[in-house]
Amino acid sequence: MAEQEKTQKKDHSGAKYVIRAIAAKAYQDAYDAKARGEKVGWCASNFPQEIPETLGLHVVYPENQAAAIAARGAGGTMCEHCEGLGFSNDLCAYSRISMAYADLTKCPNGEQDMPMPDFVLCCDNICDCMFKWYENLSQKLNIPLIMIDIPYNDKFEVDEKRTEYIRAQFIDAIKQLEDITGKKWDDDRFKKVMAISQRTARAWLKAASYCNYVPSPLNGFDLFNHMAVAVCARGKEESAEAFEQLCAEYEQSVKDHKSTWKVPEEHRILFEGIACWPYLRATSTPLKEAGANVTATVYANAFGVLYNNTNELMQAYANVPNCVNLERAVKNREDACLDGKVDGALIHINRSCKLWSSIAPEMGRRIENDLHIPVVMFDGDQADPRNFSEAQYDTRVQGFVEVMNNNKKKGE
Amino acid sequence: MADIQKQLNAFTEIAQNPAKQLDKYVDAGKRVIGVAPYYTPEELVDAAGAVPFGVWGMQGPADEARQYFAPFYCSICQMSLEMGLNHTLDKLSGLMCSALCDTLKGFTQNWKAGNGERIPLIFVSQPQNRFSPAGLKYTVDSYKEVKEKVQECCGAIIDDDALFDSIRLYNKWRKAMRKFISLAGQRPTVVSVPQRSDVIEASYFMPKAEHLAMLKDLNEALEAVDPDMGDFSPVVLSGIYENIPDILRMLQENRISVVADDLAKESRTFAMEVSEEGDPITALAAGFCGMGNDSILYDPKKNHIHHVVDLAKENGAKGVIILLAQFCDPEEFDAPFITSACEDAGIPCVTIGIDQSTETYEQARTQFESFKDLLK
Repeated sequence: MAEQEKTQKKDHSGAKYVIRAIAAKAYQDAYDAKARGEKVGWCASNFPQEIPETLGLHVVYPENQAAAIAARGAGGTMCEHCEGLGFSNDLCAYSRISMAYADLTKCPNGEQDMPMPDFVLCCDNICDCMFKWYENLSQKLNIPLIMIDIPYNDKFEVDEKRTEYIRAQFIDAIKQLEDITGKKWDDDRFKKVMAISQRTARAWLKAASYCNYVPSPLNGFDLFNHMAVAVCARGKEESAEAFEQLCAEYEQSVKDHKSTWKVPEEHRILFEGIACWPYLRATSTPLKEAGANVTATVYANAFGVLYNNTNELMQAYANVPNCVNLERAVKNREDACLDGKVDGALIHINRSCKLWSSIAPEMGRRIENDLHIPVVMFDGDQADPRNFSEAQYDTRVQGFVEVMNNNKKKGE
Repeated sequence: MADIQKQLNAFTEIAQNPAKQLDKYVDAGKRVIGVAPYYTPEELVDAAGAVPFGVWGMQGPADEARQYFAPFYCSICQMSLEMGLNHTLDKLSGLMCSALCDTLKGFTQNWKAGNGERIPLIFVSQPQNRFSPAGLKYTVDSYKEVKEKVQECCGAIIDDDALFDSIRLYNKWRKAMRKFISLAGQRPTVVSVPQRSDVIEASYFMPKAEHLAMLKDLNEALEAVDPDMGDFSPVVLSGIYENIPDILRMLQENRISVVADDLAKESRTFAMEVSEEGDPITALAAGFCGMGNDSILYDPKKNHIHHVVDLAKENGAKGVIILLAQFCDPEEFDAPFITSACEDAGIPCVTIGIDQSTETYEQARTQFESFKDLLK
């Protein structure tokens, strides 16, 4: 009987396990491809995934790897190794972990190993840090670097000159990759990849939209875990299927009045910024204790990249978070807040992400003024455990919750 | 020699009194446009009949800028924003700024939020993939937009003839600056490190035509003096900027001569060449796209590293000093490679952190003293 229960508990057919397996399989597929003698790449998370997917290339994602290493406790060790190579502890912790891995070629305790690359694919639409980091990987490993540059957009909309510049670089990148890997571009395959990517994006957007239900059928932190597949594996059929499965599960949860958020939903909040991967528990527990569920993040809409033609595809990559101007950044958050019916916003001033954090205070002020909700900031880091203070976080969350409690009383 | 000191004093007077310069030009009825980092098409401002005015922060603590930036941001951006917020720059008719690093991107948005209504932002979008026709085309299209915004801020129309006049002027000025760097570096007994810095700094607070006239006279006077290294050690400076008074003093006290530099505010800027033929906007765009050897600009082969070593070898430098601007990602990504390349080449190299808001540089003093010993 006990054995049977144990087996039941190990049933991994739920969407979250399927999604997790897709992310894990990408690493194994890359190892297998490497073993077969194929060239594999390291790829920036917001590099247009349609290109390697169409070419049938196996790529893995250093940002994803760094987050996994940090979440499994080796962020500090890897960051320190990188600093030992002479790099400043001021640099993005993802980049430090990745440069450390390029030097060590393995993790301290197998936290998240991945095959060494034969080329690197960079896109700087999320920050200029990316191209410096990838320059260094290319230099250190003596391998080709392919870069799609998407300049920061000071305007609200993506204009023609940007679209054309990105398009020309798409073509260049494809040609370079054909030369490096010997694989050939196929327009029909490209159309198929775009169609699958659209199916995945729509399913992701729908899944994230279940946060809008009151109460939400999901713990908002779940989205952090699912996001990697939404960003990096949109072009894979199994990703579309997994998110569709997730939607079905959320729908059933709404019907059954169930949720992965296991306490009463006293408050609904926007969590702004990248997760503190080394402190997922420390950051989620105080919120859980206060009944504050995350029902809005910028990721939901940001990575549901929808397009109807290649022009819109180019523009979509210029509209990722960190590439858009302050007004659009604020609108993205405010839309998420309104959809998620939030009572407050918690903003992560992320020591690793200069660009994101540079506009966060002004963004916070605007959200506070426009939506009349409390906005509280805390200091942290996406991967370097030395840049987060649990005591500060707890105090800030306590104050935040108090204000939301008072607002709730006033509204009753 | 006395004449040279008098000339140098004139540069120092300007470099140390930017507010006076700003008042002077505004009182004379000129429009003044702020020019923030990096490598913007400043010629457009000159061609519009306005005065370009360098905005690279200032010495001091950030106060009001803290509403926008956490403490871990480059002081150039923090202090430039501060100068806008505390009304030091209210007489500017616009601020031209690139988005060539992540902090500058945030800076442009914060500038618009805090100062944009008083001092409009002239946003300069430049590509990093500069080597392809598409990169050039993007720059041309972007610079056309910049031209329109400059015209609007200056209340003037820029015609092609005027723009070519400015391009020719800037080419001459950059050439004269390169010559000055070389002449001053070989004559540390005549031009001190702070004076060298002031000659360069003054160019940020006056029209280039005025600066060029003064510079030509200075270069002529310096050429008449034989090179003399005295007891000075020749070094190359690498980084973004050097003009922190304490740092300049320490370089001088340690008898260091800057024989060449790889500073964004100095020789990286002076290296640009712009064609004087064809379409002037295309020429300016091509000038930018032709830039390289720079931490700020996409550099897939890391030529910047070898450039620093080459600079040292070509100029007979005995060492390289990396003045690492605190919180500057592009520099921090390159610095370990430069250190390592210098080691491989047998060139002593030291990294000294600098920041406009740092109050004391005692650690730097010790570093300079130890480094000086390596140069003997």
